[in-house]
Amino acid sequence: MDKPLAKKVLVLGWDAADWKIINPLLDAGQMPALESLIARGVMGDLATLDPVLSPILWTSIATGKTGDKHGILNFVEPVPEQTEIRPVTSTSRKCKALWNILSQNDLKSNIVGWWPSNPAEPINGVMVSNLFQKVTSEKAKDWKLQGGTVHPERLAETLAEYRVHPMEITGSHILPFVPNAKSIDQEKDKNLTTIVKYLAECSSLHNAATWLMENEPWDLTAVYFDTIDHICHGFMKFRPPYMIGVDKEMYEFYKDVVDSVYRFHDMMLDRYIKLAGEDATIIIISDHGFHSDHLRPKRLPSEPMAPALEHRQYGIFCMAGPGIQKDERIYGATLLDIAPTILTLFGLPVGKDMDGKVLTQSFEEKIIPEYIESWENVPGNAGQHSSEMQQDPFAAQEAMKQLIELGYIEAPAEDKQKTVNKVIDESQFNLARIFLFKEQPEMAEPILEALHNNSPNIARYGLKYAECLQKLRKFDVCMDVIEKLKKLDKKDLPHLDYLEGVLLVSRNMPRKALPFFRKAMESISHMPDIHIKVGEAFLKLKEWEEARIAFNKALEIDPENAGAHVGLGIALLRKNDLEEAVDHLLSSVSLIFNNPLAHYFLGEAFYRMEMYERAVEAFKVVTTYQPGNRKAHLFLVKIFSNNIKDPIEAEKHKTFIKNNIKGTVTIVSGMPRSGTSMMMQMLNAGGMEILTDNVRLNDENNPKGYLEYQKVKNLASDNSWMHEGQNKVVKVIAQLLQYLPINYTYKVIFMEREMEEIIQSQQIMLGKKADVDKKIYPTSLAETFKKQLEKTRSWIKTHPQFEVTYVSYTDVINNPTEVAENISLFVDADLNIAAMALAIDENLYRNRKK
Amino acid sequence: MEKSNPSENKKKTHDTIEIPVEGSLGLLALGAVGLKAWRKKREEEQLKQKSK
Repeated sequence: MDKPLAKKVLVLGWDAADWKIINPLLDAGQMPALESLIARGVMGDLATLDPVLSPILWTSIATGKTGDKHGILNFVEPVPEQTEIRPVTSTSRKCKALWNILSQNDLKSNIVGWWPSNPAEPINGVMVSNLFQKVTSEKAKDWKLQGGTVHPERLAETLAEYRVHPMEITGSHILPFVPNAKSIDQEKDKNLTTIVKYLAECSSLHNAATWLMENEPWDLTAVYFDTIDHICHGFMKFRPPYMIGVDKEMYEFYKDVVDSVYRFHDMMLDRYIKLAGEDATIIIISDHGFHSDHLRPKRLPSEPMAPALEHRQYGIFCMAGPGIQKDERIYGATLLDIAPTILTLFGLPVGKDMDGKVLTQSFEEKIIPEYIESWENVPGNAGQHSSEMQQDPFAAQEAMKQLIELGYIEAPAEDKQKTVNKVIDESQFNLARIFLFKEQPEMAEPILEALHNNSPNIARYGLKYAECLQKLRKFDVCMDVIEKLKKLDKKDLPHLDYLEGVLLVSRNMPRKALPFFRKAMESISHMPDIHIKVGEAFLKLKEWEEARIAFNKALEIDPENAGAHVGLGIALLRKNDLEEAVDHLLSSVSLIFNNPLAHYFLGEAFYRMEMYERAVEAFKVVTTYQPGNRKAHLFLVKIFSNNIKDPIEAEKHKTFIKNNIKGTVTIVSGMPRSGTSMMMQMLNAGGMEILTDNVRLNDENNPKGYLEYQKVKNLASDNSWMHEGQNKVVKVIAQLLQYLPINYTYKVIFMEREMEEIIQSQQIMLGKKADVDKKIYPTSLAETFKKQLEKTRSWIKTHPQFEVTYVSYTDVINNPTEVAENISLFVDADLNIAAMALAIDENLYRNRKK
Repeated sequence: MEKSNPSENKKKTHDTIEIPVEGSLGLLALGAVGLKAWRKKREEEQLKQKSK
């Protein structure tokens, strides 16, 4: 980029600010400053991350990285000596923040109150840490500024003068929040004290920030306010509409507090807009929203981090300034996008190791961001703490433990150690949740396994571990964990039923999942997720109307649930209600843009409505996120060939498929005589194409035929023919699976049968019926086969290109329709279930275990 | 009767900010300058009270 897009940038962080509360205030003309920014800028939702915990989130905003990379994992951390805990510090951050990158590019930052920023970093500019405003004495005259809260030190005294002590707050300040404050019995009700405290803290930060903007040079000013979040945690229950169970007198006193704090932030914003000047780019963000309607939790569980349950998934984003679009809405922003966008505004490259993207749709002109591998290795004074000061508090714990064990250091008191250990566990739990959020369950697994094993009575750990195992498709272990959890506190049972249902859906057994969901619903029907899972089960069963009803229920609870909109869109699409389907799919992508599934079905809906340009747009988004999505490329080929008539584009996608996308091969596997031929017959009857040369003909052991392919026998020495199996079914015995080429994806239907029956059947086939009759059982052979099977199963688990479903031979014989239905779901093809079931001849089940 | 010019009225409101001794949210929202002006007013008032 030749020159910066912004002369200076002002970022205001309003923790927990939510459009759901702001919009009515804007309509009523009660937030005029924000209204003016929206009119000359862009606005939209800002999707949060999981876990929704502010220190982690604000560090992600400042770094563009997720918690596993930036290292801030909790509100608190152990002190280096590991003897007690303290509020999380800036020294624990493992990577550069925006202000460090700007420092090494000779740009000045004024950073005020950012969480966590204590001790203040020696940046190029000024840093006022998040402990600056914290009141530490009852009297204003005794209130000392804590060391390390201001950089550079020369400004500490001046800025300290601008702090507001709660004792300075008067009735005139309080009345706009609580008009009838004079009637409150303050001996019994301490809520006014809470408001006074937060108002004083907010003002202290605001004064420091405004003073710096007027008196110190700056390129970036970033100010963080936690007032809205704190006030919402304390007073949201009093905000209209009235919540059943809330004290009516208290409701009358405090019903205006939440809206008033928003109005106050708008008044402060007015000041910032004036101080920043017309040439500044102004960005307002929140890290998450706050439930303000019927989704407000009635009570919070007594567990760590429970208040986060009040947080909503979407925060706010608003940006205005030179070169920014006017009065436009943007979609799909996440809080990881803020740092890359600010770097681009300053004409600086974005680190490829950042997890966010540049919000290019916000700009009037087309922006092509520049990138570097990482800012972490770029030399120069970045205004960071010295390496001696930087310390990973969790790594330090290990070192400390060793010193205690060696006898060099006294162990901390037992209760203190317990607290420290709890903090470490919770931080690890948060780290595991971050990995799960990033779709890296393999990284979360060892952490959750350790937490669950060390604290088997903490259901949260077990539930998350089970969720992780389900994502890893380790169904057996997952079921073991669920069974163990069932023996714990009964109150977790609905969540376990829910999880068991999710597990069965993952195993392509949606019908079996439904009773579990129904049972869970008796207690947790207020959760949109349960209805979404029911809807997904019905989608798998192709019962579109039932699916529609379930997704609608989820949307009645939470009209802004992106997952429910996608599900409903798919159900409506399948019911041929195309316009309604498009409406819901569009709603979904406007809430969470980076969902290729939603774009895919949007493309299909537009295609069927003959809106080809829009369909192309949607399918192109799919291929951006999932370059290997064959179906999307095929749609593009079809549209460019037949509808839009752009042969060059059509050829481009055709070539891409040919060169880059290998198809899926369906494999029927298992031990010889475990029912593999029977399964081949079923799939053949269902309408799947079989790769067979019919060299091996039917005989009395397999009267309906083997459906084999001779080249499979030489798989170990030659697998170059596998392209012939693309989108077809091939029979491969278990022992040969490891020789399949790795550049294809495989859906493996693995047949399971009692080993005794397999051996009997094999012996008969080998003409050893006499042995069977004499009950001569080759034990060592059976053991060898069992070991081989175990080895194959473990091998499959470590190869992500294999998706497996295990099918019991006896289930096929006893419930052919249900098995056919599950198989049809697994291979994701519209198979003829009735024909598949008819292909099973129960009379062929001749070698039953006696 | 001569009509007043609304833009002039608006200007007057912006140019002259009333500083009540007990403070106001508007003053807090002005930030550092608001606090400074309010504290000055408070001190002046305290001196007045003392001198009475």
